[in-house]
Formats: sequence, structure tokens, C-alpha cells
Amino acid sequence: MQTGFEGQKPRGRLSREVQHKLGESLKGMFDEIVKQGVPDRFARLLQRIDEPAGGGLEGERGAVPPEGVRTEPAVEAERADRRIVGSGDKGSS
Amino acid sequence: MAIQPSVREAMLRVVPSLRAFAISLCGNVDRADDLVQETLLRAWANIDSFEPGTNMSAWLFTILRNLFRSEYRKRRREVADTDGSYAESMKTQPEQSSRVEFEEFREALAKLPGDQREALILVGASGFSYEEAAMICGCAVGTIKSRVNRARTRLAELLAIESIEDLGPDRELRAVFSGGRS
Repeated sequence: MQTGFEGQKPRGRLSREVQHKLGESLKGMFDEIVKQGVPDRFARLLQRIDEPAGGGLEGERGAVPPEGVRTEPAVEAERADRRIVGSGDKGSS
Repeated sequence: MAIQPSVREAMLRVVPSLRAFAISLCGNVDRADDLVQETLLRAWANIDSFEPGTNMSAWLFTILRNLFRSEYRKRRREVADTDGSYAESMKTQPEQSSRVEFEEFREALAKLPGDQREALILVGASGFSYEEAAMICGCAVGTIKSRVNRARTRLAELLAIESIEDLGPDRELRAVFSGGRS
């Protein structure tokens, strides 16, 4: 199948035309998925985040910090004061 | 704890591109959606470490990328896990010809080394700057630039080879492209 990529040099820098074509294909592929929007499962998931104890997410998963994510004790403590009772999430002593 | 509606909305807004990133990384829609879910749960569990007003998109992409990497290390996989579910997800696409083209492109993308693929997607499709991509991948800006360049070169080679084989006639050119392939 003719894809229009055969004009590039096999070594060294790619022509502007080829780079453009690659960029278009990449964006096209990506945007096709983006256009699908937010699947219900994620809309529901984020909706449940706001629900009080019982419907929250903490019971399902442990609060394991992802790599490279910092926690700030001061902010954490301040938020804990305002926290809804019974949420049972991380950081509450 | 109650989450700020604005924070939730910000997370929601990122979901479509986060999902596109996940699918592009692992090539499997079901696995990608699990990865997105895991990312949102992690983000929620660590929402205190997100500074309001900063880049929610970069933050979520970082979490997803790290999750993917740690899972990848566990599985010790070298190639993307493709099972055709991506093509399945493209059913809604109107034009047959561009669907075929996307499928070809996706296959070529799946053949790239993981670090090159993620760099190319972040910069070339997700709209991140080189600096943001470097932050997300935890490496130097120069490293991202070189990965993107290598990814483009390799993709062009892969796609050109496919089209030459399909067309058939130009043996000499094919020999040139075949040289240096692993």
C-alpha cells in the first residue's frame, strides 16, 4: 500500500515532508481516541470520588504513592482538619 | 475527603488524552483502560500532593507512565501487547482508507522501543513541550529530543519498507532500507 513515506533518506535527518507526514499520522491516530471522549466507567469513577464513606474509593485500593509524587505533611494535616468524618483514607492518625 | 469539583473536572478533562496515551503505549484497549483507572485511583489517593493551578495533565501522565513502566518491568516485555482490540475500537472511524493507514501506523509504532515511543507520543501527539516530556519521563530534555528523532527515523524506515514491499519493484531501494535493520 502506498503510504507516502518512501521519499525519505535512509540515513541522517528526515525531510521536512516526511516529518510532517509522520506527525499527521501520529496526531490522527491519537485524536481518534481522544474524540471518543470519557468512557462511562471513568465518569462514574470520578463521580464516586465525591461520595462520603462507603461509596468512596479508599476501601478498594490502598493509598500507595506513585513514584515521584511528593506528599506535603503540612497541607495534609490542614486538609485532615476539614475532612469529612469516616472517609478513612490515608494520612489520618 | 471531599474533592474540589474543579479538581475533579480537571481530571475528567484529561481522561481522553490520558487514555489515548495509554492505548498508544500498550496497544491494548482493555489493558490501557485498566491503566487509566489505576492512574485515576492513584491520583485521587495522592491528591494532596497536587498543587492547584499546576499542570494536571502532566501530573496524570507522569503517574500513568510510571505505572506502565513498573508493570512493564514486571512483565519483562519488549514489545507492545497488541491484540487487535485497538482496531476494534476504531470501528466508528468513517473512512476505510485512513483506518488502514492508522492500523499500519500503529503497528509500526508498536515496533519502536518503549522509551522512543513514549517520547514521540508525548511530544508529537499529546502536545507537551520537550521540557514537559522530560519531566514526565524523568530524564534530560536532550534525551527526549534524541529519542524523538530516533523514533521518527525508525518509523519512517518501517513505513517505507512496508510500502516498498507492497509495491514490489524497487529492489535497490529495498536493499538500502533493509541494511541496518535489526
